[in-house]
Amino acid sequence: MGLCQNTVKRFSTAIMGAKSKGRMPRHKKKSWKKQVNISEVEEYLDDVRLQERFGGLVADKESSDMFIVDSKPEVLKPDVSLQQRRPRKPKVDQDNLRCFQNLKGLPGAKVPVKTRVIKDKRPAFVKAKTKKKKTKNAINALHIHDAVQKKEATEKKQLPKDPWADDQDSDVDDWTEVGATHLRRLRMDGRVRRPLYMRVKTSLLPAVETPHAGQSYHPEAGDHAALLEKAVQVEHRKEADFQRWERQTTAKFPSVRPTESDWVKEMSGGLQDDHDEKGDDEKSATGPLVRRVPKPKTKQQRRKMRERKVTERHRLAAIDTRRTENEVFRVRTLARELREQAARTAERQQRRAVRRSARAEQPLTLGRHRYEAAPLEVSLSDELPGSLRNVRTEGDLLQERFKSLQRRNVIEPRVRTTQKKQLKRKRFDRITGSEREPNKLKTERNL
Amino acid sequence: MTGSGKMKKKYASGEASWYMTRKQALDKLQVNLRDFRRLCILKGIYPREPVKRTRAQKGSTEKKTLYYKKDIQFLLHEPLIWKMWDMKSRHKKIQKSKGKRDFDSVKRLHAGRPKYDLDHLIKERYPTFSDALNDLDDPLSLCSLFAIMPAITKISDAIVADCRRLTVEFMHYVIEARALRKAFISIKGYYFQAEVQGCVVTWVVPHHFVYTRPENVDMKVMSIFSEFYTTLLGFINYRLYHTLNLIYPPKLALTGATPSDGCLSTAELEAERVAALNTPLGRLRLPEQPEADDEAELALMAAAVGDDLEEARRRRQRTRRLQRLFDGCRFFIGREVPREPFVFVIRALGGTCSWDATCAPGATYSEADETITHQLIDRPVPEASKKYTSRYYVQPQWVFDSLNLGALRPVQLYFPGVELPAHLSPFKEEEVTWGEYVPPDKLKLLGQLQETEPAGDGEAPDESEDEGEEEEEDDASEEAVEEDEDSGDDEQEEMEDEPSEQSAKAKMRVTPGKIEQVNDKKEKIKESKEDFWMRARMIKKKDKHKFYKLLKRKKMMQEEARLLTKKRQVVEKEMMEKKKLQKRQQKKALAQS
Repeated sequence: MGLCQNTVKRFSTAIMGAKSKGRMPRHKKKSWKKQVNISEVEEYLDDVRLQERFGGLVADKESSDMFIVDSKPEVLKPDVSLQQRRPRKPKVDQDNLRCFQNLKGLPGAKVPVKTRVIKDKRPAFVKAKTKKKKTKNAINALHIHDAVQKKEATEKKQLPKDPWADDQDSDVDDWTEVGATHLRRLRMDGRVRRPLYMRVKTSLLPAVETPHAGQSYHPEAGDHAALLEKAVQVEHRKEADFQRWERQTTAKFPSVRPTESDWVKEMSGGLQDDHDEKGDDEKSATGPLVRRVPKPKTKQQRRKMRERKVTERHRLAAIDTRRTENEVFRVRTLARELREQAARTAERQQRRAVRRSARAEQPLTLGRHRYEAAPLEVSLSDELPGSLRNVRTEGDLLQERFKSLQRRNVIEPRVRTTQKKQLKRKRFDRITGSEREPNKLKTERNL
Repeated sequence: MTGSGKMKKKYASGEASWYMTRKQALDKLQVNLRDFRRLCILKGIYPREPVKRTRAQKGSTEKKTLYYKKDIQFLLHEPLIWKMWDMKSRHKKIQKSKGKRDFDSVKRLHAGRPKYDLDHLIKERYPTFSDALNDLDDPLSLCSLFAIMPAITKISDAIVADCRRLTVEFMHYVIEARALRKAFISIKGYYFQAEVQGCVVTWVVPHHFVYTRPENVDMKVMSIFSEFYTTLLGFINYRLYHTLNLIYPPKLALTGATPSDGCLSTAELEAERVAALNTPLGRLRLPEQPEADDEAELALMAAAVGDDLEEARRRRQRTRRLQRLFDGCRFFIGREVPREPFVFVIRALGGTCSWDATCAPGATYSEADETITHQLIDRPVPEASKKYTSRYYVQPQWVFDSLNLGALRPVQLYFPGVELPAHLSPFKEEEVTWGEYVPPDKLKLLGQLQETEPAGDGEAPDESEDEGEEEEEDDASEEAVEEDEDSGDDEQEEMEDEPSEQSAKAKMRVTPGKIEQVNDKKEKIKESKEDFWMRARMIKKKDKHKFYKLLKRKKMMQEEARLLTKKRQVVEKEMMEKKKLQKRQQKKALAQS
């Protein structure tokens, strides 16, 4: 209804505000009719007719017929720059413009051109030389062209192509079709297939190990205490290791420096107890100087020895036969022994498996050097900041990454080696008068 | 010795023939150690440990670096190695010219030196996209480390710039896909965890402090890794962007005229604005809205993981809530707050943010904007500055804690100047509980207790309680009995209630018969209880004693917890009464005066 009222209002203002024209009398009804501007009324009526033609007056309609309640949020408008560009106009061929066609001469008549061949009068070797030069230039030009093309090709390659484009469809539900995935893995176009064992990861450890809860910048007291305890344990282990090494090396081989008393003792050796040593000398003098040679055996002795050997052998053989004969009665025992042995083997296998699985988290021995873990990152209680602004970082992330690669057996642990070149020093011997020889160059190695 | 065949040579077969020392490999491949190392890293070939070293090393006991012979043979087919030979010969030529002091030819030779690309290696090492996604942790962590390298290091500028660009691109993807799940501020750096197409990706970003030269790190090796990882990450980003219909390389959705800056060109400024992570990216097409009812898919997913359907649904609900956590929140980040990680987290959870325009490009609104809901501030509030009542001033930890909780934490705990609650690790594994007493303060910290404050979301605690209940069901021991009794009591009460009501309304009436309802939950509990005791019977005789000891301990713990909660209730009640009394007395005193 509001719409209708509005129009009427405008209509009335149109009547009131109609301007008079020239000399027409204003009080006559005729002129009133002539003067009035009824275009708006007509427009209005036209509009009404139009509306009636297309499904009735808008003013009479319910708002629910005309409007939809927008229940969904407004979707993000696509970017202006993303709207499709208009196709470009084809480039104008500047050489064949229609307006300049006439300049090229009339199509029918052609100017007769006499071709005059000038004979090359140069000598043959000159001609050959120029020809060679020309071909060389052409080859050079080709090379340059190739280089330019190559450069263009590399520039074009800036955008990456999708290497996994062909498994696009089945990628979403990879887990449903294991077979297809397997086939895809096997397929390699033209290249040597990568051995399947390479797909097994070298370690079970995760690539990025999640930090200990106590390593939070503002940790909970319990977590932080747990972390500190861990760090203390590490230190204890280090200390114990050090002690063990000390015990096994330094303590075992004491290199005691001689004290003053030792020196005195050594210097005064042989001064005080002279006669004692003399006595020793005498004793040693009386001892046997030559080793005694045993007497050769008699024939009888040899025969008896042989007989004893034979009887011994017979005795042992008898024992052996008795034992083998009695084995029959040991069947149960033997069975038990076998059982025990089997059990022992099983147990040992299990123990070995456990040890192997425990080792799975440990780095392997991949070279001369051992893996050394980075120190545990701990911030002490008084270093903990109240806020993020004052946080103090611990540890070195790049080092941690490097160590992680070593720990996961991707690279072998190494120690930085710096080769120092030792220059040989020139050395000259002093020439004494007696041994006058030509100057002798001596290196360190010669000395 | 009956056979007339040849005598077997030692070390000709078996383990000894599987391995090759590094020196042998170098000789075979005709490359130097540096190139060999590069080849191995790029191709993904690792040194191996033999089962028996002396056998593998043909009698030698020295600890050598060994490789599989097959690996080295595989390397021989690699086109990269030809390039390396070319490079080697070119290098020799350059050195020769240098020796002759012919610097023109040095320049020429250097300009046209052969280069290699690693594109073909990506498909070879990661045959499917999910393989590549599973190996994303390493590239992301290393690239974000290299991204902050200064120019003084030996690493080339191009690699550093690439790393920066690629990490920013990935973060944009995480923002657009709303894939962020966990984040943690550690003393080592920021840890993030995202779920990219079903793969969990964890990476670490360093604190943006002054660069310190790393010790004991072979930077040459690390730069080779970064070379490979940048290539890989480029391909991955490209594909990820295409799954979301995002334009690659990333372009901002808003195409206002970029304000010109004296020092930066327009392109540089555009790149800076992309790196600010603050504006959504342009898309080719709007993404299709996922159907609301995809129960079948959920069931399939749950079956694949081997999970309960309910559990899967709950988890999905949680992620959906997390994805819209900061919807409608407008942040203003103070200049003392590290900008990038916070912008990343806020935007990944649906919030919008801005900062002081003078401190970095990409700011969208000023501090004076009245629509700002939260302002992150990490210093004592300056006296002179204007404070707005329309926004919360919070310390930055609030953002990370809210993300890890999955709901907005009460702001009043994080007001500036207030001593912050502990920042808990979301990566901490749940401890096995014996039902022992946990003080409600700690529960509140863990977000397992319903907050009484109005600022809290209030949804998450509900859920966690539900989870707690389920756990109890699983236990199926003493608690089961208690619950059993409880539910039984409830039913009895209901039964008593119903007839009395009916009698009051209408006594003479024919009512339709009721189907006897089988209490599923009750049955389940009963069944699980039976199962538990059946399993208990399977315990070996020697372990039985330990088992009963544990049961006893659990019972004791629960009893203790019950007593302690009761005690706490009593104490709290007393405190309340005391408070009330005090108030009353104060009122009296006021009235008298």
